[in-house]
Amino acid sequence: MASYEKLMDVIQEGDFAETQTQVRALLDEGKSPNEIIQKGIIEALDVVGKKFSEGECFIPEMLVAARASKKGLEILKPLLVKSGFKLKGKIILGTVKGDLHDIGKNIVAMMLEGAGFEVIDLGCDVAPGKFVATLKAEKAPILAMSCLLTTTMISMKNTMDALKEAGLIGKIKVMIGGPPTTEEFARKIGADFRGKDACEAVEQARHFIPERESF
Amino acid sequence: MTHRERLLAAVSHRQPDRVPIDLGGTRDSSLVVEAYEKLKNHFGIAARNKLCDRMMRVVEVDEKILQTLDIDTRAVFPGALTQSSTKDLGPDSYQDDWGVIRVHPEGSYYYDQREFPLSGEIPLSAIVRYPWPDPDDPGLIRGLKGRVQWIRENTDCAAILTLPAPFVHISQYLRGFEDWFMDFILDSRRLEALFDAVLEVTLQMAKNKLQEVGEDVDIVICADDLGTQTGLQMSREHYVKYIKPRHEKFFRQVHELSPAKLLFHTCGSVANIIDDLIEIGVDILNPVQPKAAGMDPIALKKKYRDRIAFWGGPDPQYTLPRGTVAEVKKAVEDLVEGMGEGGGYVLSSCHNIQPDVPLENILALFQHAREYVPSYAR
Repeated sequence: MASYEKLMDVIQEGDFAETQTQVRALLDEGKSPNEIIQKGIIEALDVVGKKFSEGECFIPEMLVAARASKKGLEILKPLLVKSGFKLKGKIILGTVKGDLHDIGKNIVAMMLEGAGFEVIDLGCDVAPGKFVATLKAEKAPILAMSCLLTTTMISMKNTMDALKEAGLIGKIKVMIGGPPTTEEFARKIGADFRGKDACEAVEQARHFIPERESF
Repeated sequence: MTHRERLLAAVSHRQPDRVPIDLGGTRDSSLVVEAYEKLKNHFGIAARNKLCDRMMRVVEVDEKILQTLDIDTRAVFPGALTQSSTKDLGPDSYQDDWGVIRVHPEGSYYYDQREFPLSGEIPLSAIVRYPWPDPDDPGLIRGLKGRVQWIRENTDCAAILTLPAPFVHISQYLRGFEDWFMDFILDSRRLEALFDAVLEVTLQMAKNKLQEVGEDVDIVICADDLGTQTGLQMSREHYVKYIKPRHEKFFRQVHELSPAKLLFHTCGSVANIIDDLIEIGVDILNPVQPKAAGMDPIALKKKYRDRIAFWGGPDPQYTLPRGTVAEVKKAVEDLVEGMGEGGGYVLSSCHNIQPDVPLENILALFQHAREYVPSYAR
């Protein structure tokens, strides 16, 4: 018999097939897609995220859980859309210009999706202009930027300058992440938040969205 | 003491006359091209740059600079494969001898990968059939004897032989980082097959180099990153099961074929496995990244005393690039005071000096390290 506990377990174990089996079984029992996301997927990712923050699990465990939750969402998202359910809000996400590192960014993307956001992942080496164009085209209220290198942090500042030129400062929220970033750096470039890990990114996105759902 | 005597005393946990200093002795204690250009201009060096690592764009440091800064070490870098598959793929891209393609994105200082040759749902046969480089290619040992001889005849410095990364780095470059990490949980058999295939090649490469000059060098270095800013890349259980025994095999061969001390480079926080590293034959740990969790060098020195030596320098994430000259000098003094008594410490930059480090900070690091007399020596 399917259960949310079982779904949470198999997500944390990274059992992709069983994740999808559990999701289908819960749907068959009449559970709503939104409830399965909230009580199964988001709960599982919150547990893994907390364990990661506390040093109880590591990158392999985070990645397999995030991937398993993505597998579950493959079944659930189309059903959400079909039922007219509104996703929490759009987030434009990417690793900045000059930087090809994406593991952290990918984990954040999967966890934001698991948390019910619509994530538009622009990949790596993303130029400021591309962030701006996509934000405008999608009317997304949140920009999330990642970098791994101290030497590509300048691209975050360049993106903030491009946002200013495009008149988006104050209309959207900007969060940054990645090992070389700090809260001080976020303040210096005018970003709204710096997250130390994927858990914080999700928490902050939840905090941002009630303020505005689009611009 | 000669430079070599100083270095050997320190790594053997005997008090040297002063803390020995390394610059350019390894591919992880040198400078990125743009930082090196500042140093070259300062010292009036016009010689063309030679890279010791193309991916990181890190240089072989000019002998005149090493002499002026009174550096105690000299590098013995590997030769190039005769039947090399390294090729340029354009001005900003190349393929290396492992078949890995790297690109140099605009705005970045380094080369990085966009694709990984053994990523995805690959069968084990793909690993078996992969075009591995020939570890017995004579080019790999060409010039090693000559270089050691030059060091002995023209300097009195310690010679450091660079060996290939045992298997962690290379397997990540081939498999792709996400698949590599997930394999620990989803397909450890495939991960182990890849580890063993890479290790078979690097063990033989290392054997050939050690048989060529292992008896003649003072330090042997290899690098395989295991840490992140906050902890290990994988759980300690996974490290012990899949990585430790293979590193132990590689390190054992070093000690069988050379009397030199083994210097092991791993970035990040590895505080949880330092006892394991000691157990499997690591004599010296580098770079001891100060702001990584649990890696405060002075605390580690107090804990481990003469069980392992340390090789590193001031914090490279904030102090060296963003600190004042006074702050860099203070960091040097703290390290010399806290690490140098009784030997067991070699001062270098903590990893390669990056382009954003001001020239005055680079000079402060090495000049102050040379000049400062610690309290225990007065």
